[in-house]
Amino acid sequence: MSQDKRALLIIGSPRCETSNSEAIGTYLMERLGEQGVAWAKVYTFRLNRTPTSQQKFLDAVDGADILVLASPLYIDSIPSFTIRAMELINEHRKSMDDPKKQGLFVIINCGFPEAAHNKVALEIYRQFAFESGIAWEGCANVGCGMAIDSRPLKAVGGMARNLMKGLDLAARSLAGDEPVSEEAQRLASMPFLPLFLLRFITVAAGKSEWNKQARANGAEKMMYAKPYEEA
Amino acid sequence: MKATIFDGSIADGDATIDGICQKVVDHLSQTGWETEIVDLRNKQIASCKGCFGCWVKTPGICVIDDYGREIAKKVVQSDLLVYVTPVTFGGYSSELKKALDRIIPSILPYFKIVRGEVHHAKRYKRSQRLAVFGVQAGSDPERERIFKALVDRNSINLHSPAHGASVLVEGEGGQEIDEQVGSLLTSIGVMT
Repeated sequence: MSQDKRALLIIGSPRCETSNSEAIGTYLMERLGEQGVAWAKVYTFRLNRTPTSQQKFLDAVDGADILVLASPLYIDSIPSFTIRAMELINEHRKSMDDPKKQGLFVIINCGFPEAAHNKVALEIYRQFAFESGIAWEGCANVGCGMAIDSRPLKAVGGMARNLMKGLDLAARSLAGDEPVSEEAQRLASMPFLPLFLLRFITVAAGKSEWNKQARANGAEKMMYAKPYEEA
Repeated sequence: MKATIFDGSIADGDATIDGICQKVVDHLSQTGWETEIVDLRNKQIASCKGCFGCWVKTPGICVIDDYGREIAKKVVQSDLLVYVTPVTFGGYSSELKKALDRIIPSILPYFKIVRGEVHHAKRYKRSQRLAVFGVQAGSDPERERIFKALVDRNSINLHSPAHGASVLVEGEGGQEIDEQVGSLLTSIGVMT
């Protein structure tokens, strides 16, 4: 239990409150809250280039002992505005004589069934922690994020049970100043269903789901459009 | 044959990055390539907002009407893409990434299995070779390893027929830059 520890959830998704990053990250923060950790939340998508916005963001970062960065995978890496936030944190900490001791736990989710797509992005996060003098506390490496569909994890139900178990364990460790165990990270990173099944569902059902969305917008017949093809 | 060079430097006056961009142009021009350097930091490019409108509302075109649309168009109409960027935690700078996050209109939302993994399918037949140059303050094998792994992954999602990456140290001289640029462009088959 920790009465004076503070955590900051940094949501790195442009979908902000309606993102899977929010759903997974908030679940972890609520568990941290139950362990007596005070927590707050910020959104990198809302961070702009004004000094006021950046200072407010850095003040929130400075106030935390535990940073939880939650983002989707974008083009094999991290969304640009979240990289910008990381650049700011790094520059800020490097400008200090004695930066505060902080730890970083990362949650990343991708729409592909295989969480392995997230591997390089996780290495970038880890390198960021190293270069910024922040302790690496581990990660939840989540595939098939679309199954969460931005719902609170408890509403997702059985599919998310291992993710929730892993985050429960991670919260206890983070609150207690203990290393997050390999077991917690393994549970939090388990596929929602067997991979062969997820692959089948993603490829087969994925197409009809995209078509359904396009139909709702009157765009179904243009799905294969090639507007930039040269004659 | 067209090559688009994305300059991902964070601030003006990065001599190493400017030098790489110019050497790429010099090498390619000698072999008849049409080249264009896109100075990303001076373009109005909003961040991708993750709405998937470019797949299900206006397929192939981003719903945000700014220079990001030009980025996607240039990618599609190129035969070679060259990224030049400060190595940032082993990845690309936020400036380069802001542009790359806007190229998803150029692929389809549908999935296919590539090398045993699920990936998005191509929208266009034309594909682009990929050459990526990173610049870092000093030699750092771990950052370099991550950087090259990222380029490998990008090449799969770009359905690129050939790709390569090279990491240079800030302040390297013209001859070193010339050699590394020439070597990488040769290795991906755009020069002999």
